[in-house]
Amino acid sequence: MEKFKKRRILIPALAVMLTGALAAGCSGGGGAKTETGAAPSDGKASESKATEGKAEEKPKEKVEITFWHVWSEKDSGPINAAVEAFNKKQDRIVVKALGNQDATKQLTAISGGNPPDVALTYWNNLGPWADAGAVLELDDKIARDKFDTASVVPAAMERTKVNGKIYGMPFTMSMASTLMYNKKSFQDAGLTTPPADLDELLEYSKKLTKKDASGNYTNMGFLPDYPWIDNVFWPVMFGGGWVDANGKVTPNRKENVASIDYQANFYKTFGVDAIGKFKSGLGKRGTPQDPLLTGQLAMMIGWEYNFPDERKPDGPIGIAPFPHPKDRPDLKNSGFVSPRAVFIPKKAQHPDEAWEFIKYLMSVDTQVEFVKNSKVIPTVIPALDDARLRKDEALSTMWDFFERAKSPNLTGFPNSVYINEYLQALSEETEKVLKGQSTAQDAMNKVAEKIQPLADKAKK
Amino acid sequence: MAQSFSNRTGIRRRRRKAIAVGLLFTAPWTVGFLLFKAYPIIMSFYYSLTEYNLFSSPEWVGLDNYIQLFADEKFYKSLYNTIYLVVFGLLPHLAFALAMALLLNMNVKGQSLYRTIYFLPTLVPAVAASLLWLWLLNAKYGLVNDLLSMIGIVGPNWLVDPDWTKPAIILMGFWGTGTTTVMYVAALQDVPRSLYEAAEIDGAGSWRKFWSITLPSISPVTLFLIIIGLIGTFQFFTEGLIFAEAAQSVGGPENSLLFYAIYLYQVAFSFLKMGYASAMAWMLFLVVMALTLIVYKTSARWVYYGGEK
Amino acid sequence: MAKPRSAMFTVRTVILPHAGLALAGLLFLLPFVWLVLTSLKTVDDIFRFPIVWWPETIRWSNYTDALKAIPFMRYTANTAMLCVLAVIGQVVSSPLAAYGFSRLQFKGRDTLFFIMMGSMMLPYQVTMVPVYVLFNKMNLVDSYWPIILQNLFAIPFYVFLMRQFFLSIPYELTEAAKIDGASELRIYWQVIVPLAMPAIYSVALFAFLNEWKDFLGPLLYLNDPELWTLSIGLRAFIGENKVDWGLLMAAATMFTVPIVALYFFVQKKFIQGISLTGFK
Repeated sequence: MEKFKKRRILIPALAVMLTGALAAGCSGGGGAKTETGAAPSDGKASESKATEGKAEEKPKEKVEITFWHVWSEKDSGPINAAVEAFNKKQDRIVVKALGNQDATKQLTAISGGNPPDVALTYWNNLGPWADAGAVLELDDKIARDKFDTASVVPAAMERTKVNGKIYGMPFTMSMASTLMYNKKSFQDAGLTTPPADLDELLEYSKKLTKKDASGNYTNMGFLPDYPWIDNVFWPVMFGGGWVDANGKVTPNRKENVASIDYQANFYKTFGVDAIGKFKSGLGKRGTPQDPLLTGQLAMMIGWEYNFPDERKPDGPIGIAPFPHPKDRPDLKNSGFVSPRAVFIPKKAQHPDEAWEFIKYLMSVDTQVEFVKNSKVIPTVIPALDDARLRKDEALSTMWDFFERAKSPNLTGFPNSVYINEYLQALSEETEKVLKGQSTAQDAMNKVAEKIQPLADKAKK
Repeated sequence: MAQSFSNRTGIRRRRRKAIAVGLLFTAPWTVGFLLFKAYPIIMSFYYSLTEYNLFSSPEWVGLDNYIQLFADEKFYKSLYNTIYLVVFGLLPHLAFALAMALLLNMNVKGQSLYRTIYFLPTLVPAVAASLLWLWLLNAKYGLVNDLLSMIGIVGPNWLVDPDWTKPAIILMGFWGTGTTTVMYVAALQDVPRSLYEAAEIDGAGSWRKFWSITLPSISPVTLFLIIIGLIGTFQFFTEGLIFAEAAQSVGGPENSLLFYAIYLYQVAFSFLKMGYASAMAWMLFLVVMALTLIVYKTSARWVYYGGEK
Repeated sequence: MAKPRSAMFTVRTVILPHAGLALAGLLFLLPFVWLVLTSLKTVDDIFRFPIVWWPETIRWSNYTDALKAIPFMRYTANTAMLCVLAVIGQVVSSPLAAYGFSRLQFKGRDTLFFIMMGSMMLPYQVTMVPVYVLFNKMNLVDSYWPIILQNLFAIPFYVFLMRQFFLSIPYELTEAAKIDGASELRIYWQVIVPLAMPAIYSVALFAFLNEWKDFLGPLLYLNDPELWTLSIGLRAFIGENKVDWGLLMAAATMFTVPIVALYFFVQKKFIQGISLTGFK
């Protein structure tokens, strides 16, 4: 490989973090909010339906299929267990799992003509890849095997749809819908209950913010862009959306603009420079010096992977539904999801066997096992209530997330071929607003201007 | 050598032989190039004239990508960020490496230990090194600001303040100058001592010796380092991306860390616009080629090859 | 012509260099020391503020855990193999090509050189996929071959480096041999190569180092974990939402140690190589 002294060709966690950061900042939104159908909680329903409906015509010979996923050795215990179990429980298909296969590798191999049979990636990659013709549409297989897509959390299922067609299955999902707070900080400020609406959130923040002798903040109540500018979360909380039914992009509709104004208000109230200074002194996230643990920051947007142990009822971190806009109580329990999707590359050698494996991954038993091992949120609704999960004490801090996953106000960012550009534009313009360099309306109008041509092209 | 009519064919034959020998010697490169590089390079130029998402067939669009590029504010921003590194990073790094090499060449005790110390950082894998520096540059608990405070300076917000993110990268770059230093050491050791001795006889002081003997003697390596540095800096990628990640974005605070190759990568692999990215690549090629040619042309004035014909 | 050894002289030739080297050395070493110290710290200490230099409890287990987390020995062997092949490839092919571009005159030489330099100026991101396609068509992906083959043929960076060194070798030295009727190959082997040993050692060192750190090549072309290299192995400590900092730094330290050893060894060769040049 060609090398220069300054060029270290390393794209390790970079690509992961890159797509991860993009994925984390986005999630589906808008579109149908289907009622979650009543599904039996014994778990076998969708799987048995699939096997009943399947007319197996192929001769039973052993087939080996390759499965690529993004997880490194650190995180791949649960998926390896799932693969092993699949291989054990039947003879026909042997799945070979390969980790560390980030988006760069997947993209290169698939477009380079050497795709795996089935792969797992961050859901926002499906938009561009599906549009480019790299991903197999699953609608036929779903219909043929009578796979019940209604048994999947709607917000998650929507993320794998592009132009109305299904290109993958959301295997697990990350969710942001809560407010996590430092109980002691609340106590010290005389606050007894978590804020219920966004006005209260601001008021609480004022009470929880402390300065030192030289006027610098030592503690703050809340930062709307901690740990990152979340351009999906906020519009969702305000009931906004990003695309309307006619294919017009709507980043500048009033709810979205209101959500950005709200964030900008924090910056105006506490001061851009002062916040900047404060941010530079924050402890490192995810370590014992995490700002929420030390109380440096009193409240933050909570994902299901934040403080799994500390958020126990008797723990130092409290958890509550994220406040809704004061005038929109109907938006209670809003949140958005960011799934990992499994898909079949179009030129995969064994698409049918790949589909078998995908169905297995979406079965309640597999979901339950996986969640037990990894403490994530299952995407299959029956699994959310499954006794094996609800009675497992080790998962006690996940239970309310399982409940929240049923919220009708759960949604996400729309998947499309231009999703990454849309998210990038939103990020850049929102940053300008927070820094006081633009008004929210102007910024969002700019985004609409930039992205509409891409949306028009995508409509074809 | 006697010249006669028949020497014309002799010259032609000699010329052909020279070409044959030349091609033979350069074959280790040309064969590899023809096998593995020529086709991809030609393809990338073709792609720059198309819209290409890596999976479906490229669609011809002619010069549209290039025209679009000139209207793209991020094209200019990323170019600016990258040129900033070249101007404020490359030259200081080279000067520093040369200074270190000069010190190392002075026959001090513990030379090999020092050389290893300077070289050590380049052995650390880029991910670990970048993560390490992210930490060191943290405004509150990082070592850099800690040390600065010991001498009374309040360190800037290296990773969050858009004005300081590039200097942070350049600072980290000093740590990685080990390879340059090694090359300069090798070059310095190749300077014939006889030249210094002759100068000393003429009564030259150390500054004179440095300016008139050392610098010219190592000028071929300096030329090499400048050109390679240009080429490499313009393609700066990995560390920039990790630094930007610290601010949870691709381009860093206010896109101050959006370097050209990073933007290119995002366009190609995130937005799936390989055609546009290829146009970006060829624009970069033109810029770097132009700068390199300028450096090369001016080099006649300051580079001295011992093997001057 | 001995100058009287004044105090000034001592300051300039002994004290200042030592001071400069020591100071710079310290600054260079500091981050690395930090790296190693972190590899011995517990999670509590790593990000503590105010900064904790020396770990309160030394966690040797970071190293043993890192060794257990991935097949370290196998990855090291794989990586070393690729690096040795890269060194052999570059040490043989780059000087040859450089000789052609510097000491020979032939029609088309400069155009070829120009093309070679140009090929370095295109960011790899846009040729990455076509190169992969090429190797896939040759059925060489999922193996070491793409990496080995690309390291076999002369890489422009090293060719350019060697060329600059070759150009600084006086023509008188080769003219003599030419007049005696020696072939170019002979001149190359017996005159030029010995003189350029320091540069050739640089090439060997860099070729080894660059392949040691190569991540993209192994990522794209190795689908079998048995074949993986250390750079892929390092990712084992970087999770989706969390990084195992202690383990990562321990692994990074272990990643670096073999090359430090190698560098020490090569350093001696540098000096040996120089004394053979006959310049001094």
